[in-house]
Amino acid sequence: MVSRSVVIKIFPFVFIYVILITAAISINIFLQNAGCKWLLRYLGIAGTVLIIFSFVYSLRKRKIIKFGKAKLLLQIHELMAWTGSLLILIHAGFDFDAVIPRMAVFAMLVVVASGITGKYLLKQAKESLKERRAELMAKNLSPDEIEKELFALSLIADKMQMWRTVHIPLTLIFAAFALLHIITILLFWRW
Amino acid sequence: MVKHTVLISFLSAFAIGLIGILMFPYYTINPGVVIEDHTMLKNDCLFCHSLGKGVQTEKCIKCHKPTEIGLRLVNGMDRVDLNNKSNLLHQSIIDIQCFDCHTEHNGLSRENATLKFRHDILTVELQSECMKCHQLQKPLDDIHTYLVLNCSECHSNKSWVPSNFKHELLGERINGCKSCHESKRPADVLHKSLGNSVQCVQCHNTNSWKPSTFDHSNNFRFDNNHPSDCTNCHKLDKSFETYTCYNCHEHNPARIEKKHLKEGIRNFGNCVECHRSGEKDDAINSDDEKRL
Repeated sequence: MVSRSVVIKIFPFVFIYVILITAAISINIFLQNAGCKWLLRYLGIAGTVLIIFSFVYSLRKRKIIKFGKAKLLLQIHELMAWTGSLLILIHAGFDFDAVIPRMAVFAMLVVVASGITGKYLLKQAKESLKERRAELMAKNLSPDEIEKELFALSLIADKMQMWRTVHIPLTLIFAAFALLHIITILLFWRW
Repeated sequence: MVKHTVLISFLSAFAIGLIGILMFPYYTINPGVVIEDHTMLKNDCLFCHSLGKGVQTEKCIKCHKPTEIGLRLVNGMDRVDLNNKSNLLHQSIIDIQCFDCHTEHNGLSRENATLKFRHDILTVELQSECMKCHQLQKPLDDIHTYLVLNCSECHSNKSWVPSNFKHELLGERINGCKSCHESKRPADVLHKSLGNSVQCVQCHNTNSWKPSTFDHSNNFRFDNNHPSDCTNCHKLDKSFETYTCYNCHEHNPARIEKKHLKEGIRNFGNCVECHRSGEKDDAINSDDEKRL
């Protein structure tokens, strides 16, 4: 029951996420068929630049830099990382010839998904937990009974709490594969 | 601790990726399938690529000598299916690189390795000698047999159609429309009834069939009492070159004769010679000659 209500709240985000991936791949196919393959290359560069600049927030958070308001920088981080990821996804499309860039894209998608979890889904789960607890307390259940009822929801919320555990290492894995991809392109491609 | 985990993630991924690239470059970094003839080179990137410079023509022509393309295989054996056109083309290329026309990692088929051909890569001499490559494409119709001109007089080097044919090129044959356009002659009564003495250029020009320059008011102007219904004056079973005005109660032959004779006009058989409209006072050529 509790799990179902959480799923209902989570579903729109998963749906939007899948739609965005599909849309990006469709745009890639469209641009290829429209003879604009060259544009895809530049979308990759633009996406990478946006993602690199989105890390200003990470530097501010770790006090490596001092300027800027953390909240504003977080919003910029989200916006730039989202836009950059979308551009990179359009750049990559549905092409599975080379493993390294594929791994980079896969890691990027997981990073974005964990970011969404941190920003939206965790909040949703916490709110559900709070609402349900209030309902149960209104029914005059004992604290033990309430905890028992909320066990599944608490577990979900706890798991979601761990989004950072995935977000940051995966970002670095994404960075490693993306860097290898960029290096090999610079070495082998003719600009 | 967290910092170490993050650093380890980065370094591990980088190391694994790097080992993968060094051991299996074709599976880790190749952007697409190479053509079938290059399959044996698929893990030897540097056979074609130069680090930092991409693919260079110097590496291609080590195997694909421009003087032998189309005539010999890269192993030096003569080709069974000689392609003199390809040989001529590659020998006539001005200073460009192979990758301007060819690509790789685009699928197994050799067809996929050729991008769109551009004529401007050829020497000016060959560009002006279309027939050296396109002899088999020349149509066998009358016009292409008659005209011994350079193709570029009518065609561009982007595509054969649309052509920019100018009728002036036909010289003295410019009025022989029917030799080319007979099949396009409209099947209407007007065009069917026109005799062989009538030339297309009397109503049409060489820029386009429509609009035609035919103006009925040069012969007779229509009005409410004389509408543009052909059969009012022209008998369907006869040519449009003939007509009659005696088809209504107003133009009774006996009355017309009487009126003209009263005016001293005896030669009144061809009405429109004097009457170019239904206006009674609009008659022309009512000179003495008609009164004879």
